[in-house]
Amino acid sequence: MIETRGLTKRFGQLTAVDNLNLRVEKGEIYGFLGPNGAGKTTTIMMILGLLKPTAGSVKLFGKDLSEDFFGIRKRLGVMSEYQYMYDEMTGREYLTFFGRLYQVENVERRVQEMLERVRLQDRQDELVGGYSKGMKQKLGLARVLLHDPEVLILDEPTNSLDPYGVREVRDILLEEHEQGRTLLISSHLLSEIERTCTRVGIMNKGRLLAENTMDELRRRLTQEIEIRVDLESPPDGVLDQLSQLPSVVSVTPAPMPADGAAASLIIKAKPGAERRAEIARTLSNAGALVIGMRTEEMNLEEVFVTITENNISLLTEEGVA
Amino acid sequence: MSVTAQRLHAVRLIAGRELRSTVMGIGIYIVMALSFVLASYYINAFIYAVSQNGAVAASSPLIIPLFIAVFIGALYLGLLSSLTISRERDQGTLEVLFYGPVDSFSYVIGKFVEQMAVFGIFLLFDLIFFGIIALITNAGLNWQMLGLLLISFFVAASVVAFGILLSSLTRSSRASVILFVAIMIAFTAFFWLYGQLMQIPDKELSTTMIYVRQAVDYLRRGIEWISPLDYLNRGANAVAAGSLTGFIVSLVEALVYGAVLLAASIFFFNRKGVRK
Repeated sequence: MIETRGLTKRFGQLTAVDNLNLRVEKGEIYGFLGPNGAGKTTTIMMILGLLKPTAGSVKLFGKDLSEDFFGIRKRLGVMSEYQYMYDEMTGREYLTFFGRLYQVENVERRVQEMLERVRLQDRQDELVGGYSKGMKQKLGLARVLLHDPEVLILDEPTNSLDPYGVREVRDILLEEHEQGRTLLISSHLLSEIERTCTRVGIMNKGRLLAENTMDELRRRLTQEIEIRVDLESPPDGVLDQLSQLPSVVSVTPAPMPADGAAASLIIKAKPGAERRAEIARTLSNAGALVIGMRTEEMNLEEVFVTITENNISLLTEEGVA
Repeated sequence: MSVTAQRLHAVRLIAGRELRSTVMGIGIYIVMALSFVLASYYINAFIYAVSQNGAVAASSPLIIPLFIAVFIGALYLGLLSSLTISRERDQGTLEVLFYGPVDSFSYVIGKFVEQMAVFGIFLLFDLIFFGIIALITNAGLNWQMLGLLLISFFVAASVVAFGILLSSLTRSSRASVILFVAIMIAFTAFFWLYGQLMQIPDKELSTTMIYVRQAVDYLRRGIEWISPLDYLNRGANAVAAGSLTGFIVSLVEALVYGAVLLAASIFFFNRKGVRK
């Protein structure tokens, strides 16, 4: 749906985006991450044709924007970080204006649907200038969804929202995804990205350093995983049996858990999807009764910080960049 | 839907939204009232002269007050146009608009159409106002006045295009206004100085000053083609002189000038971009 090849933007001596190869597939939620000044917004501007690249190309729906400018623009729904609106219009008038611009059929009915969806129907006749930041954010989302676009490009969609608003917006975006929309989301709320995105791309200093599923990024960044096992009755010698497993690096008893388990073990092992099964089988064979097992994984924040702080590229080995 | 149809659709919506915003505002009515007050002042002075002298020879006594009203309207539109793009860029709404099916052509032309629609409202009120004055004073509406109204529409188009060009060149509304006012003052000051210089007899000028005056004269010829208000002057002069050829030439000149400025506006708008 979105593809960039060798996309580069220089502002004088500064290279804001450097040889970016990005690919967002149909139906996925792509989390576009990076610290401030990483080049995310510049990339989005180039994707939308609002900024001319120094080099490289952008394809939307397999076409250059110049091939079908108006057609492509109508298939996109774009929301920026800040909601700039016509303050002299009411919420309903604002959506109606954009509905007409996008030539939405039965525009009045559609506007009402969208106002109800973002829970602004009771405030629709108030001037947008009097809306709170959160209300503007929701109205912006309603504008984006009004014309039923195939691809949503959202920059900080939950900015200015309270926790209820964040949940509402997340639910709406997940509903849109279920209906087959493709989403490109740029956000600093990493927990939100982790919950919603099927794939993430991490940019730093104008370069795309990583692009993959969360599981794959974790796997590639993690030298060893930590598995905590709660046992009801640890049989003798179980520590030795676990230690002898080729994938296990170390086994140490943990402090007594508060949940009633008789003992807990912290097992450090080499990363791999089959580790938990291997450990569970060994414990079972030793006669241990496992009452809990959880893997301590890197969260997106840790992945993000690890990649951006150390400027690690996870693309080079795969030959992408 | 063809590209042209898509563009026209965007032009219509952009112009409609802007027009609504302008009509709902108070600025247009204040300027209109001001232009009528100044025109009335002139008419009053004329009537006073008639009452004092018994008769005053004038082929069309309302032409100058009408020119004043039209001039003020066109100047206001120029100022408004100089704000139109930069203000929206300043507010960030321009970027949001350009996420959708809007290109620079449809946007600039939409702005132009809206300003011309506002001028159309000005002209309508001018017609009503001067129609009433003509009835009261028995001065009569004549073809010269209608000619001035017609040519003022085309000249206003060039003033608006000039304002839009300035707006496309600047990033903030403040800079646009300052630039517009500064250029208008510079043009006016130049023509005033030129007038003063031309009034000095040759024998009172040194050789150097004669060369300076010649250079200023060449400069004036150039500025005549740049200053939008000069198109209005030329058109008004052609109307006052009753020259049909001069009228048509002024009209065509204003049209070409406006088209060139609009094309330049689109070019510079594309270079400046839509971001705040």
